[in-house]
Amino acid sequence: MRFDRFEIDAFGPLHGFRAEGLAGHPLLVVQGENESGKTSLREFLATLLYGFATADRDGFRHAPWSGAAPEGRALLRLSDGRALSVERRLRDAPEGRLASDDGAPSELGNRPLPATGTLAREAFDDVHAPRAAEGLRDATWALVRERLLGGQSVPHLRSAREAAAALEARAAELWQPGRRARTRQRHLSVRLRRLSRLRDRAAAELRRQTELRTQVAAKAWHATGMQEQLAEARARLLRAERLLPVVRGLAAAAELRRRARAAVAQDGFPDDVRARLAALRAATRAADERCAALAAEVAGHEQRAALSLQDQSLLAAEEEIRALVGEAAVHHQDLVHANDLTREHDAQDALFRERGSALFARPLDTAGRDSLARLGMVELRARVQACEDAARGPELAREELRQSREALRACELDFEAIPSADSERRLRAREDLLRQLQAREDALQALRHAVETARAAREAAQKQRVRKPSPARSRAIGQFAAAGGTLATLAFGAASAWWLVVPVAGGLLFSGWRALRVRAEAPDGPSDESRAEAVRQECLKLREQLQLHEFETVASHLDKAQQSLAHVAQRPELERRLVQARQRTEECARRVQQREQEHDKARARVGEWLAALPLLPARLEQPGQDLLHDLDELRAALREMTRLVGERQAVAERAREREARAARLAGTLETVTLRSPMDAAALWQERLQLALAARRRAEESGRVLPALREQARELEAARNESHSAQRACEDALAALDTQRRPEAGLRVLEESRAWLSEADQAEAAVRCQFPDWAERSAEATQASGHGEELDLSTAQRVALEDQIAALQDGLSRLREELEAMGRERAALAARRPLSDIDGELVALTDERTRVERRRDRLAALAALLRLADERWRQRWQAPLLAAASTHLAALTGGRWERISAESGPDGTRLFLKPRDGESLHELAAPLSGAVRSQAWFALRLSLAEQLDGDEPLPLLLDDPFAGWDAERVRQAAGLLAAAGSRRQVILLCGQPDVAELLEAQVKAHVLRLPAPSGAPRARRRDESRKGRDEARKDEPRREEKPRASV
Amino acid sequence: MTSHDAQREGNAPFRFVHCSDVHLDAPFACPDADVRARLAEESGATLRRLVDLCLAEQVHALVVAGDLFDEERLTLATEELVAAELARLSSAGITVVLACGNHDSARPEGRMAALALPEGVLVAGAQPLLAEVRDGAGRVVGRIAAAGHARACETQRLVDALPPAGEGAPSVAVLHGFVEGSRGCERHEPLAPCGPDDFAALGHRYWALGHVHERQQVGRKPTAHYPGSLVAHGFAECGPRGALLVTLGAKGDPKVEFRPLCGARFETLAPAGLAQAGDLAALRGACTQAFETLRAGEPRPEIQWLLRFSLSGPCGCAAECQREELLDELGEELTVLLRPFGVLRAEVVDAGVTRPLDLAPHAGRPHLLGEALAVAAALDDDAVLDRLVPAALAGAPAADKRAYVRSLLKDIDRAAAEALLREVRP
Repeated sequence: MRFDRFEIDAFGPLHGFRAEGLAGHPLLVVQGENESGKTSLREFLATLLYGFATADRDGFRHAPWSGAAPEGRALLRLSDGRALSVERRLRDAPEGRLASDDGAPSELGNRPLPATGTLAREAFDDVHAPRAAEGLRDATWALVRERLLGGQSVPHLRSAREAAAALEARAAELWQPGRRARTRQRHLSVRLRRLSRLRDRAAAELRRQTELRTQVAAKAWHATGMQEQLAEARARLLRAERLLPVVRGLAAAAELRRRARAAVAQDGFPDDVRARLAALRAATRAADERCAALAAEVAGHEQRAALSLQDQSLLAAEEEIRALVGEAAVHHQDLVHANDLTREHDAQDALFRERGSALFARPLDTAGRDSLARLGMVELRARVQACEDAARGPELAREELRQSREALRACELDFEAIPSADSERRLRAREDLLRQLQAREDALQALRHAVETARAAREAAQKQRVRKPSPARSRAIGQFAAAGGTLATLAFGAASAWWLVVPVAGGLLFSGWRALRVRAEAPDGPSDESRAEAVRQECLKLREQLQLHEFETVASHLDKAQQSLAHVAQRPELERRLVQARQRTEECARRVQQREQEHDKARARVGEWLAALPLLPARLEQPGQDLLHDLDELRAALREMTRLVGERQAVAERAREREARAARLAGTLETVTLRSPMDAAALWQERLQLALAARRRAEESGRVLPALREQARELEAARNESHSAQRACEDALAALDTQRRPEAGLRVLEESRAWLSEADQAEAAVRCQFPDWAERSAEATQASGHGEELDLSTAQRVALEDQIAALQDGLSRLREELEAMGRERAALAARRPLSDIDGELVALTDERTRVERRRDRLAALAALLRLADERWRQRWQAPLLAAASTHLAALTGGRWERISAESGPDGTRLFLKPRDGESLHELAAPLSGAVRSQAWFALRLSLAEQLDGDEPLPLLLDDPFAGWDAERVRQAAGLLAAAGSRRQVILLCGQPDVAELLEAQVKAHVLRLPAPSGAPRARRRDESRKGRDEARKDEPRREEKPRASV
Repeated sequence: MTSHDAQREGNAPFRFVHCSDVHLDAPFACPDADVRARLAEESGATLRRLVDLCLAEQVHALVVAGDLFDEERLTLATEELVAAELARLSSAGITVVLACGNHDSARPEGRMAALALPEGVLVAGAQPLLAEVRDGAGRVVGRIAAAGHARACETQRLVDALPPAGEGAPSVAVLHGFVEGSRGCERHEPLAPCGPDDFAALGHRYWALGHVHERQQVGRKPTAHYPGSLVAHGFAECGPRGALLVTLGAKGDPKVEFRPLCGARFETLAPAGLAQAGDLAALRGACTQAFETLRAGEPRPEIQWLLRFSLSGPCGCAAECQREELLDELGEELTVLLRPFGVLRAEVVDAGVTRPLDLAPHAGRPHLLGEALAVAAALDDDAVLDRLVPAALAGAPAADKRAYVRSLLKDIDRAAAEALLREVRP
């Protein structure tokens, strides 16, 4: 059932509102500002279907503000195409009338339409025309539970959500994935970790006990060995002390004798052999010294007499050295000058590059610079001059073209100002009318003047005459009097003759009245005044035709008309001038092109001349004196650089020549120079002075050498004789030494003589000190036979004593260590054993395992309940929630995928399930208000399918998108459009944007309610809308839609 | 004719004591430190009782089939105790054969290698052992072939290295090995595997096995026995613990007698009549009754008990039983209550207690519980089971997550019903 047309005579703020042609649109959007009557419209439509909610007019909430009776009507289309006409009115009592196109109208009273079926008004208000975004009233909710959710609720069962939540809460007390939760498992894990650390320590202690046992055994064995070593060392030391003096005394004497014999087998030397040898050596040494002194003197003179090769070379190059030393200062100046020239060249080059960058597209290479240097400047100046001359041509031509265009435009304007042929005809007609009008007005003026003149004359005459009554009035007065007299006869007894008297009197009265009327209407004849009036009327008509005001003068318009006609007469002359102006303009345009081509050619010739140079295109656009100036500057810079390069090369050539000479001299003198060879000139000067001095000393030594060489030969003979005597004595002594050294042989001889004397003394002392020296000697011989060394040295003795002391210390330390280990073992043995810790660990681990299993069982049980719930819903859940879930998923883009209901003792609660989670969110705060309204929107859409009348009843949605985002509004538009295919959807909204969105997206038909009175905002919006509508006129015309009318 | 008479006549049977898995210094799974200390003392006392038994029965040999101690935790005091007790046997002329197990392997750096054992104690370590056992007169009464673990994780078939039985005296094989299919084998690692076919191949008349802690006979021809662990270390080792006294005659089957030696017993009890227990007092009574029934079957009055009352199934006070703190209190009460009867510790655990529920009226009904019961009945389907696996598991199993979750879901239908059904209180 769809509303096709409705009219609101009066309802709430709506008055005389009408809309039609609605049934063909699946979605109808009624947009209006606040207080514009949207809610009243919803109530009106609901009232049409169900009657007035309140039968009392005074209590009716939507009573018209104007005080009129609520009243309206509508035309409804049923599904089978039939039409129903319904009318409702609330005066003293509700009235209603229903008429179908195939039957007589019937009184409806306040009853609902039959098509609403069994759906009550409350349910319709909750489902099809909700007043609030959320919730259903209790009665409706009971209806939903009874009809749509029946069977879901089992009183003795908890909901799966509730049960699963309880299980998961218990599970969460036992274990949670995060490490921060204080769960039982976590508590046990902490204890286990502590115990594990304790266990590690206990294990280490156990290992330490085992190690200690091993170490104690090793140390005990070591101590035993040390004790044995200590006893042995003490016995050996005691034996050595008793036998050693005898053994050592006898052995020392024997050893001394053996050594004396071994050193000197036969002593044939004199007793003072040392003094004899010293005298021989002194004589030999004196002869050697004299020979050496003389030889040194001879060698000195020989050395001075011979010049070194370097001095010889210096003396040979004396002339060249003196010349180079003289040129050294000039050479330095040349080098400085060359550097200055280089810097100046670089500065010029930088200047050239800088200026060249403003002229050339890229830096000039050598070829480019050559081209620039060879550029013919005379020819270039001529071409540039020609180009400049040619550049002025287009400007002049353009100026002429501009002037000719202005003249052409003036001619065109003059020509356009000439009226057309029709205008000319109208002008001529207007001129005729103006002429007629002027003639009439002239005539009128004359007549008025005549009238005034006549009137003045008449007034003057009247002042002189008595006034007389007019004959017509006198006649009328007489007739009225006769009629009165006739009628008076009736009062005096002629009543019986009334039939005669009354007509006569009537006739007299009529005659009198007619006389008066004729007098009033009869003209006084064609007087000036009447003619003036006639003329004035004609003037007014003419002015009306000419659209002139009564007070406007005709002359000015006539002048204008005549001027216009004169202008029209100039048309041939203006046409001729216009043609001439156009021809001149075209000629000027051609001239401009010609001048520009000439200019381009001149510019091309300049560019052709400069083709060898990479000039910037911008510089070739307008070649002129500045270009020539820049080129001249660059050429001057080039010339300067060329000069600098030549001068620098000359200076450098001179310097190189000097350095080559110096290098040759350095090669001759084998001088190594780090920098320029010229730097060595000063050094060579110094060395030359030294060489000259050496030559003088050599000449002096050559003179004294022969005498000195003779004296040396005599001294050499005396020295050889002394050497022979000394060598004989030393050979005899050297025979005593293995190294064949005389001094050592002399010492051996003297030691041998001393050892023999000492041996005799030692043996005598032993025999005196130890009377039992023979027994001791025998015992010592026996001990030596066992390999024992009795002759302990001091170091051996000390070492033995140290060993004894070390063994005693080691033993004491070992005993202390053994005691410490024993204490440590005892302490470790008293500690908590590892098995005990492990026992607690195992117990705690078991407990933790039980906790974990219990938690996992609870979690699995919760999952089972959820799975069962899901399966149950899939199998048993009412189609209502399935459809609502589908709507909600479409509305939210799948973010919320299911609406479920749970019934319990405290009522039925709705829950939403998000796509990315298992938990359910109750459809109540703190869930987002927008989501709640969207869920209820989806629920109502499906409820409307389930709860309906005999016909699909319209959906009346009052601002359902408050707080929705644009995307979800678009999704809702799609849902509404789909719903509109089955039932009419009327959406009341206050936002124009939403209305436009729905209009654009789903082709919704938009009705706009008039703005509430006194709303400037509304007026502005209307104006803006009017502007938009005007703008839309320019757009391609859309399909015409029926508009609401008020 | 008694064994002593037969021995005097020169036809003496070979008599020995077979034990295994003593696990000296192994941990006792108990949260109570005092109880653990008592159990540790009892462990040493059990070893002394074992030696006393050998001496009293005048056996020819003591066979320890592996795991005499836990070398990881073996203390020096226990080492000394072992040496001293074995010295008592050596001095009495009793041959002691120790086969190394996985907990006391013969690895060079292990404790067994460093153990100072008295003379006459034979250790089967990396090399198999074949020993002749003689009586007091020097006659060979039997032979013992033993193979030990050379390392802690010995997965080779040690049975292949065992010497075969010789002619003459009866022969005994000693092995610390894993017999597939034996009771309780799933709690042990499959080390040194062997089977009844191996037993018959080598000709030994008795197989003294170790490794599995459940006392059982795993072979009849020839006879093979696990004596079980000598000392119980947790509730996984319930029942009396002791050694086997074996008499091996010249012919016939060996005579095997169990001699309980351990003075402490771990027991898990399932009290009956929980459905009628409406409160904790009644529950306590049910537990006490269960213990009385158990104690009546134990002939040794001096035995010490460690009890675990495992509550499962319908229970009249299920809500209380699901609260850990109440169960702990109940365990403490029972400990105090039963201490005069030798109970060291009693604990009560919830193994799946539910309210007394009748599921039949709900099954197949078109409501949530009916669907939940249907899901619970379809847990054999892996697809259904996968839906129940929590996203994060507390006890994450390394291997088979499905098997783990399936093991959690025992009686899940009752649990689901209990979670869904509102409790109707009078």
